[in-house]
Amino acid sequence: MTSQSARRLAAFGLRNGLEELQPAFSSAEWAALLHEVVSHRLSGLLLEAIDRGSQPVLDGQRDQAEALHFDVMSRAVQLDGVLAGAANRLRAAGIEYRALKGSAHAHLLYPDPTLRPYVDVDLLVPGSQFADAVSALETLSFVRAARELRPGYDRRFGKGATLRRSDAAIDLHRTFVAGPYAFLVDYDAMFDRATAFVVGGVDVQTLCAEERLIHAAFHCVLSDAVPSLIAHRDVAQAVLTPDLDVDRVLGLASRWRATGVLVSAVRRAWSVLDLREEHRLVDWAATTPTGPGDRYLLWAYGGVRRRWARQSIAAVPVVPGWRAKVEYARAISRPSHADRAAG
Amino acid sequence: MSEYYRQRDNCVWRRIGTAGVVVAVNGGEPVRLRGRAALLWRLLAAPMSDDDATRSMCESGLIDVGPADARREVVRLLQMLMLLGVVEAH
Repeated sequence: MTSQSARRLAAFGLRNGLEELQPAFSSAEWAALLHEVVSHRLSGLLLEAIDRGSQPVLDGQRDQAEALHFDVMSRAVQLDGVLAGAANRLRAAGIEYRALKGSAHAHLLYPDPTLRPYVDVDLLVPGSQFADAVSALETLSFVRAARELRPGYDRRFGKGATLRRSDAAIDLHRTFVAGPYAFLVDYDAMFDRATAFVVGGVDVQTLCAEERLIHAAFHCVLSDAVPSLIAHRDVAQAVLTPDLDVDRVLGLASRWRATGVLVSAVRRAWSVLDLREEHRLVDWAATTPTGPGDRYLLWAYGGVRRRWARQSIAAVPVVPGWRAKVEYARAISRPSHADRAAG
Repeated sequence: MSEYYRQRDNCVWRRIGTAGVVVAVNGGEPVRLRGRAALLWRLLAAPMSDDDATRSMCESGLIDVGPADARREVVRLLQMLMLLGVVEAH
């Protein structure tokens, strides 16, 4: 459960501009707030609110907020270095990629990247080039954290893999999420167009504004049992992106059976952050009913325990083709390295 | 000293209030820049001579000494930033 103070902070700058957020916090309240600031990645918004005079503070509290944000941003700039290196390596290997979340959100959704902390690097690559991408990143000393469940699983069924190095981890994605939406979304279409942003002198490719909004919605609604406040803020920022093609967003959501996800994300973002901003997508989300199909898909990503199992089982009906359904079910229920261990 | 200085392309910077943190992407540890160093780094987003940098730093009020001492301070900061690999001279 997030506090009202943290939710107001997460909305800072979106509602009434330079409003005063709340009175200065006592030491105990401040300690509790800092805990939420860390877990919900709000250190940039906190420092900005203080420096703009919207959040009064007691002696020493600004210094604490600045020290915290220094640590968070020191990590962010290191991760940008990792992203730039990975982008260069993938491009040299002829592998398409799109940076997801983190640095891409910070640079393209927010007025200043300092407002959006992140803790890892996420890259989407085509399924057909997934193995090549792993190999390319291994030349940068990254090591895959877990084995492929069965030969060909990554390319056909998997969400992706985590690659680790001593200084960072890269989440290499084939899809935005596991479960049904690993099959319902046309991920190849993500590589038909791109937006670029510059990190350390390197042009980094990422999703266009409409795909970015849908991905932010997926992350907010489907990825975590308890989504962070910054995930809600990402959705709000993505909705409020100037020149967003709303018709294209709605078309993509419909084509990928993600209307329920988008409705849920926009409603949640506006509700949790208590936003008043008017927008066509907000009106649409408020008036669009979610049907049984939407609710089933959202159910697949609910719950706190055994989420992977629930998502995997819920995906079986949408895996295309009977043979593929059998192969998918076999892979998730009995990985080949389990066969080897049993043999 | 050389004629012009500028931020190196291969650096990543984040503003933190009036300070900031910078790192060269091909290695090295993030460095925290405050006060004069942070301002000079931001000024060098565009190529600038040490004389122009000294003038801008004095106008900002962050350096409040005579012209010769101000220039010495700016040159010292420029050398520090170049040593860190985040500024280059042309």
